[in-house]
Amino acid sequence: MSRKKHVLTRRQRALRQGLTLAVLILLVSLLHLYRPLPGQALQAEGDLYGLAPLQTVLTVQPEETDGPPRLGRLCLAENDGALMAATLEFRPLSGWEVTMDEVVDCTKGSSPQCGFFRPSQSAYSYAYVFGRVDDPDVKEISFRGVYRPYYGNSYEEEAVLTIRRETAVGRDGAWYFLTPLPEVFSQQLQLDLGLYAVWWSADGGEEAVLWELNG
Amino acid sequence: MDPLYSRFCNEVCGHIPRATSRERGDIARELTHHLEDHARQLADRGVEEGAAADRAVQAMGDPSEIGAKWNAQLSPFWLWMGRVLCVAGMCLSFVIFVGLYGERFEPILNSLLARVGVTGPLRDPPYSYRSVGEMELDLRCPYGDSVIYLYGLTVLQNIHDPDERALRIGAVAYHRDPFRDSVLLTNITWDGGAWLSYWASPARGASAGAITIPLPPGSLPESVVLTGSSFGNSFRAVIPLDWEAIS
Amino acid sequence: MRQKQSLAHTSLLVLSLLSRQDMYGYQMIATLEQRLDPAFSMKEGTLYPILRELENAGAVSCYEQEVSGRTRKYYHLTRKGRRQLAEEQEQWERYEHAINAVLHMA
Repeated sequence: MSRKKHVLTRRQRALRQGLTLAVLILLVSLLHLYRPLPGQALQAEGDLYGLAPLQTVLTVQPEETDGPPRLGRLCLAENDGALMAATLEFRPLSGWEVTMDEVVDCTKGSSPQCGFFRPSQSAYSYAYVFGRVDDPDVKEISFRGVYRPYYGNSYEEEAVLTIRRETAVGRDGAWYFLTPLPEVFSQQLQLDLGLYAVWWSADGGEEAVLWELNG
Repeated sequence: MDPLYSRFCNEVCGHIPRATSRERGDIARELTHHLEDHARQLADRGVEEGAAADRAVQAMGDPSEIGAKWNAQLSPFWLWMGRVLCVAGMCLSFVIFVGLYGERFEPILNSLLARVGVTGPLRDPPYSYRSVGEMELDLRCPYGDSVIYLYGLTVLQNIHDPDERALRIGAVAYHRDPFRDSVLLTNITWDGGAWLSYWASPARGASAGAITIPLPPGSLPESVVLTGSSFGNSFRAVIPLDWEAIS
Repeated sequence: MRQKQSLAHTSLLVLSLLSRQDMYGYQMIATLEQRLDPAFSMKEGTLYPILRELENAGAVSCYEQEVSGRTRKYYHLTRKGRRQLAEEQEQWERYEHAINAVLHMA
């Protein structure tokens, strides 16, 4: 008598195909051939910096000044030694990818740790500041930027952004933020007219340079 | 197939619009086998062949009723779910084996080759320098989840100024997991107490570089110490220099 | 003469047949003909939608096997099918007991 050949119902065939697809996705995920999850893209980017596994703290949709909407999301992730702000986009051929990122080394210096981040090179995107505050006594952080609105002149203006603990994301006693700078900052960057620097201070204390043009 | 059976099967299948052509073929085959078995049994009892076939078909019942009931058992949902999953699987397979070769397989290959020192920067001296001595190295230093593999040392002499010499050390970095990318050598700061420059190729999968350390004139240090730290990770490699062997 | 069995009873008969051995379609019909009272009959073609229904419910599985140069489609009772058979048998026996209790009232 010859071998038995099992005949599948439509449901069994579909479930078997679903299982095959799931195994395929798991395999490509484990082999890092394809990244179906955004966290995998973050970790792959962390590999390039030599970072230990990162945990996502918060995710936001990118702000646009104008123009066509873009896919993707902005993400703030951390481990004990680093804080990373990243732009994540989904590409059908490779899965999630980090297209832009900025990393702050948290092993040097003390809390708060802040960074300046440009999510994309598009003319339509805002610039962001991000950070982590472990010190429970710090209630607010201010960012001040100086720019020249018109190319070639010496007239300067400044804009201020203040982030308060109550409006930030709290986690395990620390608070985090990933906040767009005022629109005028982004416009200056876009037009390359001369945003020179961004300073920051905690609770109105001494200012430190966060970012400088060509610095 | 007896034309009577064929007509009967076609009538039944005509009332199963949900069936695919393959399923219709299976249905017709099963019904035909049933009719043949019944007709054979009748023939064994002495019924004439043509009459046996006719009686077998009559015994089956109303083909439209059979078809309608059979049709109700075929779920369009699971058919289309299966088709969608099949297409998704084929697309993913295409993406993996055709679309991603350069993006993902090449880095894995680089990572595997880096472990045996095949991937690495050129040992050719930089412009204006020539090689005056070599020393084999085989040092592997953990750096976070990556490994820095120092695989060769060359002593360089400036063509225009023979007193100016430098050490050039070949390095590759690979991740412990061959399917992940290594730390970029460009992100590492090397501090040996002297000014260093390096050239690095941030190839995906494995990062290759060469560290050039200027030597003070007349200096023959007993060892070179390379250190690096970043985001809480650090590494330290002590390279003893055997000048007799190098010369 | 009753021309047609109700669907529920037919599935009980099919499950019962398959509980003894795996069978193909005509084999089930021939066995039923031997066992059933000639007063009862069923249209043979309606067996197959019933088998499909039992397959979709997971009570029965199906396989093809070549026997004497011919590929036959056999049906096999699954574990779920055995449970379903036990439940339907119990329901039938309760029903039969209830009817008999009325018919044989003193």
